[in-house]
Amino acid sequence: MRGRAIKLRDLDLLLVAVIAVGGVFAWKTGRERERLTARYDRLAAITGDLKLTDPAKVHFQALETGDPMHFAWRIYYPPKCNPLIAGDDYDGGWWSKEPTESIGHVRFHGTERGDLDSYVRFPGGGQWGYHARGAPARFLIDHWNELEIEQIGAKGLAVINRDETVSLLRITFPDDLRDEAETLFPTHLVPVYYELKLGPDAAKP
Amino acid sequence: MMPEGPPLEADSPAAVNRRPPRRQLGIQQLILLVAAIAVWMTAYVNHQRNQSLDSRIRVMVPLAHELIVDDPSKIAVVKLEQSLSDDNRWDLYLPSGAYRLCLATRDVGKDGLAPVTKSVPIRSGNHRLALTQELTKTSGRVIVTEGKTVLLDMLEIAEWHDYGSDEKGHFSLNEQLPTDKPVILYRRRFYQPTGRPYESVMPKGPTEGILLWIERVDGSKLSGEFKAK
Repeated sequence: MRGRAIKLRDLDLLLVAVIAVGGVFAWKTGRERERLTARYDRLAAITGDLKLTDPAKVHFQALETGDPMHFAWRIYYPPKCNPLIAGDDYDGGWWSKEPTESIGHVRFHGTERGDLDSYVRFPGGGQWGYHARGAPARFLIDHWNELEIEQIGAKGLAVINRDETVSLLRITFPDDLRDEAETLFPTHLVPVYYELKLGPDAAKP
Repeated sequence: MMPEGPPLEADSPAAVNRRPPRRQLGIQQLILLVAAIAVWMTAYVNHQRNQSLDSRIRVMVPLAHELIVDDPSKIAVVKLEQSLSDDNRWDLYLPSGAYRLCLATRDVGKDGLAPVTKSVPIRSGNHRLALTQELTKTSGRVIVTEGKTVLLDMLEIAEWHDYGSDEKGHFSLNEQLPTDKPVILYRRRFYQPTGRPYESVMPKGPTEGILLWIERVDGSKLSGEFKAK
């Protein structure tokens, strides 16, 4: 009976030791988890929190910019993807053997001279674009909040097949502005004033 | 010699007494076992989660353009995300010491420094600098600001920038640099006319442009104004 008692006490001690070592590991990994979670949250506030649903597909998640003329996305491209992005003010493609994550921008801005310019930036590079001058520029800036804007990923994560062509950003004159827009802009810019596409057929009109 | 007795029946009381005692876990051992499994499971789950977070953070760091100071004795610098064609902003950390922010607009080579056009002392610590270029048909203006404070403001003639350029903003990824070498934030070189109509080339040697850098200076030679900052 005495030997059994001693063996059971040994087992108790062994279990206590296992708990102590495990407790230290759990505490250390818990602290590290807190630190990493805080860092992740801080970064996600800047870059957006993109959760991959299918690593073989392209993902677009719109980001909040605080500027109605500035559109941004957190983007994931699968490996060996050859994306092409094209529009009136941008034409860029690139290739990467590895999966790529990036932030893309389309930003319109009024200049001191009263013009409307744009800057489009994706992994293929950044391009400045001239949009309008004088009365047309003034019209666009004054009515910007009335334009119909469709931004992919704005209502949630957009998951796109790599051979699919989609519109990333489309800006359309609403019905009540079309008559006036037709007097200011060439016919091909009314009603769809701006469109930026992604995909193999992006460059096709 | 003891005479051998008749074999015992397997479940007779005597046979039971001869068996080695079967180790039985009491309630105390069960609790300890459950606690051991719980702490190790917690450690394992935390470890798995940490690995996942770490891999996601590695992807996000270059996208966030976050200033990271690994070594407080070194200069840390990162260029912020560019969302406009002339959007040049940097976050930087300067260790203790005296520094100056320098701007050159002439004799800008492909590499190295250029004669200082304007400079301003900049103290150690954290800074967010912005470079703005106003290039119009009549003039060129280069402004470096920190918040609403204008640190450098340089006006140039129109011909200075009239023929296109190559530009390079540095540090799109966070870097740590020694304090004894200048930190070049931005280099832009303007093309020069060839003399033939509508033709300009990039000179091989120094030319008009914009060079912005930070360098450490000898604190003992500082003016009172510098020290006051």
